[in-house]
Amino acid sequence: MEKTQVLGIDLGTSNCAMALADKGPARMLEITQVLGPNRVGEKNTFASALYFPTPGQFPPHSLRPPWLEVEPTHVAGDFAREIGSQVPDRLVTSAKSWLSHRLIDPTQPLLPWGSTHSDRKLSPFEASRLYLEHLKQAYLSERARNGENPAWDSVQTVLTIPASFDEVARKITAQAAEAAGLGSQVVLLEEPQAAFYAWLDTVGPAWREQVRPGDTVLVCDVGGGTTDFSLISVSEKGGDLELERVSVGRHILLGGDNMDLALAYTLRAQLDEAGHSLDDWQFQVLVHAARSAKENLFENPGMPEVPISVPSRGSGLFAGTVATTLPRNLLETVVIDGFFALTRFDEMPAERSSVGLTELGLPYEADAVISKHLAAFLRRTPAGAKPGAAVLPDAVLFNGGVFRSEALRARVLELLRAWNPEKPARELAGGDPDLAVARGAAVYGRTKISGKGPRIRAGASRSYYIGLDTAMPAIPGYRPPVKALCVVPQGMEEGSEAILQDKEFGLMTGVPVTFRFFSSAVRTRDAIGTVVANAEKELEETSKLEMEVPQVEGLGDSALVPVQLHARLSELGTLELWLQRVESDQRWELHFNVRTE
Amino acid sequence: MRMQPSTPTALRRSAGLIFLLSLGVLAAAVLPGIYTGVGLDAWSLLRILLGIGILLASLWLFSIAGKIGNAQPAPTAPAQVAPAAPPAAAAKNQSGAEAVLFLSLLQEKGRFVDFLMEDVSAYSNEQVGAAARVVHQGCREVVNEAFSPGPVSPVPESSAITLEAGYDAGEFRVVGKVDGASPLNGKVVHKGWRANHIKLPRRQGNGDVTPNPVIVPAEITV
Repeated sequence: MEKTQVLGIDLGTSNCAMALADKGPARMLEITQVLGPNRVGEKNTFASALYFPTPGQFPPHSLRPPWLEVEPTHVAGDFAREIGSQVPDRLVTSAKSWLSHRLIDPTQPLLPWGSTHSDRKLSPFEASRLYLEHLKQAYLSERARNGENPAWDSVQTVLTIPASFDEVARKITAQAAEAAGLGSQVVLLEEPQAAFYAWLDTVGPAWREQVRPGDTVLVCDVGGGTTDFSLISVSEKGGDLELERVSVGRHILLGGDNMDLALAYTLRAQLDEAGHSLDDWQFQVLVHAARSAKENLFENPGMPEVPISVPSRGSGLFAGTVATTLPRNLLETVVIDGFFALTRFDEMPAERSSVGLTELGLPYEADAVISKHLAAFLRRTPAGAKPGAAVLPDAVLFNGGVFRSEALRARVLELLRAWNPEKPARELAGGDPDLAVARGAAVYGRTKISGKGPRIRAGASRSYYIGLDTAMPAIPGYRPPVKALCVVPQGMEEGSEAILQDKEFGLMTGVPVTFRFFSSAVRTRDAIGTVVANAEKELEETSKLEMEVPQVEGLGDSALVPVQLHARLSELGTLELWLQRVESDQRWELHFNVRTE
Repeated sequence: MRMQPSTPTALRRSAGLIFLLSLGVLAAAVLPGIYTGVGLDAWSLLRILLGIGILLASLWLFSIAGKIGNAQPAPTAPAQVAPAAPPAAAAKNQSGAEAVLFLSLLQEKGRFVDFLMEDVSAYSNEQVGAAARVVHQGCREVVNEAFSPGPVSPVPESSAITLEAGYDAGEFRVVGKVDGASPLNGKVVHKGWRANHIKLPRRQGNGDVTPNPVIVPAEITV
């Protein structure tokens, strides 16, 4: 069926948003959700949070979204986060960050992390599926409210993912979308690219005047819980400008929420000194108040301070409310200098000191200074550049709620100016830091369908390798290093296929086969067939590849079949790997087995 | 606009209006003090009390309109809360329920009912001011999200305005030396407020509206 509309979904770590592109300009959609017991309504965003009430905790059917007939086992959205902040054992959040966790299997029920209620645990995959299912229903009910009833087949869905997501995390996201009923043709788009598409759409044809051939644009995306960097290069071809995403950063678990928390801790210390100690509930209120105060001060540069009041929990408001203020200089110390310090270009983020035993959890950053993470990202040589030369951006596109603040945008520009005084980076005007990702996803989908409008060429953001056992005589006490063979070079284009020509494998039929699978975001110059001598040291292990080849007709029980490895980067943004029999057209697909250690 | 259709009872409608109006008055009373960072003076307090008066009156009107019975006498025996009895043939007062829903939102986000129901005279202006910020921040979020209030008058307060013949009397209320002549030349004393959208939460679920609905449940920590 012809796709007549595009639904852009920003499946955020802490908040989701949706946009629709049909005939007119792309527009944001309101998301219907449960706002409290017996209360539903619409909001522009939808908290990526799930809460599992105990039976009887709320009146029957009071947490049922309008499209459900039966009592749900969970509630999703803003109310879930609100009630869950007081019952953390039953709250699932940050599922997205768990999707790309290297040490867990994201299809295993392990959220809420650390909860003792083993009866109600969800996998990060399942949590993502539930959010997406909710968003689909919210979309359908939004259309129904407007008297429309589009066939789902006519909707092209574009789902955004962090640029840092590796192949396995991408695949799992695509699978979650399919399981949520979004169909098998969901297109994945990296969030910084989506922000760039939103900018292109906002600025219109005039975008060609804001960038020049040879420019490198930094997309600096600081969301609620994560920070994501990408570099997009501008070149000229046949008189028109071409865009290419040349480099992506790693998954940095650091964002606006950390800033609000840092402010709240500082304010709590102030209140402590004044003799008021806050309980956990009051601290949540303080975090919220700190966020509003921060936004207020940033929006009103003339305001010297913002008073903050934190009520007590009981109904007595006057006696129990404690008050303090957030002065501007404190905000500047904590947020601007704390997170966006003017560090040198060679100052790298502190690594988490490794001790023998580490508690398994989300790999939150040890270093909160975003400036250092930015320097680390820029110092990694992007594709095509001279070895050892870092590419400093000519322009910056800001994205994420924290960059609504002019002061923070100015600080990042100041930082880049200090790193590159001869050619200071300029800001690309016309960005919309708040909801750009969902809108950009819708814009991208429309461009993809119509074939009209600028496109960003984006190849594989990482290079991929399969592990090979080294053939060497056994030496007691010595484990030979695992060699790895590059099968997908970084930058390989969407829709293209790579064949490992000079390497034939002998594939045993009738028995399960496993390969170790590695990736690297750093090795930008490896080509197909490049051998990495010590994969465990040089690369990141992503998953295992598994397959079982059925017996091949005419070859007996278990035979050795010569095969070649093919890799294809699909138009949907996922990687397909298969083994192709040399003598015939027979092929067997390799499946990612998510990492479990 | 997605307001649920309400029973066209004039009484109820006016009660709703007065309810919203009282919110406006209350906001007007609280806002200036907060913006300037100055504590509440006697005049603002008076205005708050006026707002409270109108609000209570509107709630009372609701109670008549919706035939909401008197609250049950408070139980004297403490402790055990029995499982809730199945709802009896309850009065189906949908519009009243929607108003209570909005009130519960103001309470949850801005402690509005707590603020009104406590005896304000026992506390200092400083304490009342600190509490008012809690109410202001929360209720402002709720009211902005639900109504996005913006001024009616195209020109700011204290500036001159000319109203041509046939102006919308729903938008401008003319007082002073009104003689019916037009155009009217005057000065804006209050810019007025208009809801730029109406985005109210809806009631959902099977539960009938009870005669004395819960605005916000009692919270128990275990």
